[in-house]
Amino acid sequence: MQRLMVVWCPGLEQEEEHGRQARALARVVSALEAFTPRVEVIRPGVCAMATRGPSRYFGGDEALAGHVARAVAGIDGVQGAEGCGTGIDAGVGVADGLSAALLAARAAGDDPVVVAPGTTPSFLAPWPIAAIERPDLADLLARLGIRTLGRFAQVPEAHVLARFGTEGVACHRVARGIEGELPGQRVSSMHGPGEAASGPALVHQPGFFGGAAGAEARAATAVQRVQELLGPEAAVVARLQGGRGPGERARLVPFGARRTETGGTRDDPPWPGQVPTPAPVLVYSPTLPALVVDADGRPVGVTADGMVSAAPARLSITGERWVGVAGWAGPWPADERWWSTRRRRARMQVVTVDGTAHLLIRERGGWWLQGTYD
Amino acid sequence: MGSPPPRAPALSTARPGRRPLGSGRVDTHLIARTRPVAASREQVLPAPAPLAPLLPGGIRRGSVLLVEGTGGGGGATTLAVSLLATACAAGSWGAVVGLADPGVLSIAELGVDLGRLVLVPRPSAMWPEVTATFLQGMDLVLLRPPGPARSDVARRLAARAREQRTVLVVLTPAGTRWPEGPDLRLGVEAGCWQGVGSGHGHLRARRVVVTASGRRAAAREARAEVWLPGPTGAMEALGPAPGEAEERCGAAVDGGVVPRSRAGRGAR
Repeated sequence: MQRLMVVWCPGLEQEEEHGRQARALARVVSALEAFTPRVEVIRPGVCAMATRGPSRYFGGDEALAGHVARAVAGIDGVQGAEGCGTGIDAGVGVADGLSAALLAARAAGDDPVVVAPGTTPSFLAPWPIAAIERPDLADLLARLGIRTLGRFAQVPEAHVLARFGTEGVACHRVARGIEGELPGQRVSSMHGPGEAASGPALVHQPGFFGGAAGAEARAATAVQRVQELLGPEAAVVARLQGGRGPGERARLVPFGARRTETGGTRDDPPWPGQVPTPAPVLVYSPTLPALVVDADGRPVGVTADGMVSAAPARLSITGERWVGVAGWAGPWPADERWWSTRRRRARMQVVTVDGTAHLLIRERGGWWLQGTYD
Repeated sequence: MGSPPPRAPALSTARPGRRPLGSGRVDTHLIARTRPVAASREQVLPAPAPLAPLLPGGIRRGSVLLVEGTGGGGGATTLAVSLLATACAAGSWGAVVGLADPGVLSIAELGVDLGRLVLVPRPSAMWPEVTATFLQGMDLVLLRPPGPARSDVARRLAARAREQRTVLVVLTPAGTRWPEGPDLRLGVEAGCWQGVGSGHGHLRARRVVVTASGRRAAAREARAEVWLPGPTGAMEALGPAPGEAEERCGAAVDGGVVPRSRAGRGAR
């Protein structure tokens, strides 16, 4: 497992205005680049580097971590006007694997925390179960009485697989110290609210500039200027992953992060109920409220056996005027997250008489517009 | 918005006394030779093959294309993204500004290389600056203005696109207008979805007529019938039996085909 140092800057996790936090993080990255050319931005406020090479040069992980902590403390902070550096508040942690290194950094005060090689499981054991960064799973485990990573690690893997599937096993292996990180952990699960982090890992763009042809560098420079105008979250790149609906199968991550080779996990599991190709070119997040009624004006629902309660005749989106329905397909069941509360969800495609096609989802007792095939 | 780069002064200092900067012809020549490597590229970006009748040779760099949503049936967004797809497939970089609810999966199905695409879904009132910035670094910028555009803004963006030899595709939703005449105006008519009946099937493909009219030589309107999208999610040339498809387009709903209120009118 790779030995990593994580520098965690809690003051830079939240973007405030005009990308000041991002620029401060860029200064942190430059400071770290004095120690190693390969610095990765894991997500806003967090960057990481492999310690194997630099530790050998600087005389061990402890010595390296100390150098790094002093270097970061000497950087101009976000608030610092020119000439009056305030330093950046940062925790420095070293451990086997990203997950443990992140927790080590969060545990660090002024002094770095270095978890000795091979001791990751005992370091992880006392942490609360929420530390696995999979809120749904952590919630459920806590309700089952499994409140620490150590307790989770003791559950036999076969049981975890049977009860929580492959994603549960991935978390389990991290808790046991067998794997260093969760798939997609290098994408923020914090700044994308409500978003399940399960995309491919990302690396910071210096590598991107480094091997770049001229066109790439020009493009990246333009994006950075835009990020200076609007903040780093405003410019995003799109990634695909597994899932059923068009919303679940895509994620938008801030530019400045880039995929590493993580292998093709995106379509590995079977996704029964996946919406067939082509996908809607407009996808609304959050979904928009819609009303579907039959010829007599009664609301159309979905029956227990997955059929529409009556043929849809008219559609209204966000309270706008009613439009006649010319055809529809579905409903198809769309039950994700089988372990969470039971709720029956279904999708339906509707074409209105003016020729527009929509993708609707039945949820929480109503219809919602999820996408439009413009 | 930043001011255009001071090209002529930079040239004269770069090559002092080498050649008088008199005639425009020499200027152009010099500008072409002193461009950075990345900018000394072909004169056109590839266009989707099914649109070859409308965009013979490709999309000219530095030009402004307007893709108009005509309302009813839609297809403008898909058409605009299709232009981006063929451009990016050839190694170019693209940016999408102001498309607030992008369907990423569809964008990928349409053929866009997501590794060369940057999106700014909500550029706020700064969209002219954002667009101008992207015009400096990208090969194609797709702009869906989030608000009304002033004509001086439209003119400046067109000038920036021309200077930087970047293609600007402006996607105007139904009911809004772009205040400047584009180099080429594209529209989508007679959209007709196939594959959906009364509770069976699923959306498979949409047959549309894409129209194009320009200024200068291309003033005459040209038309092409395509699948937008086709069953694979990408734009496809119309199948081998267009006559049959057209007939089915107006058929009853239960025939697996959805009629459009205006179907037949613009079909040919």
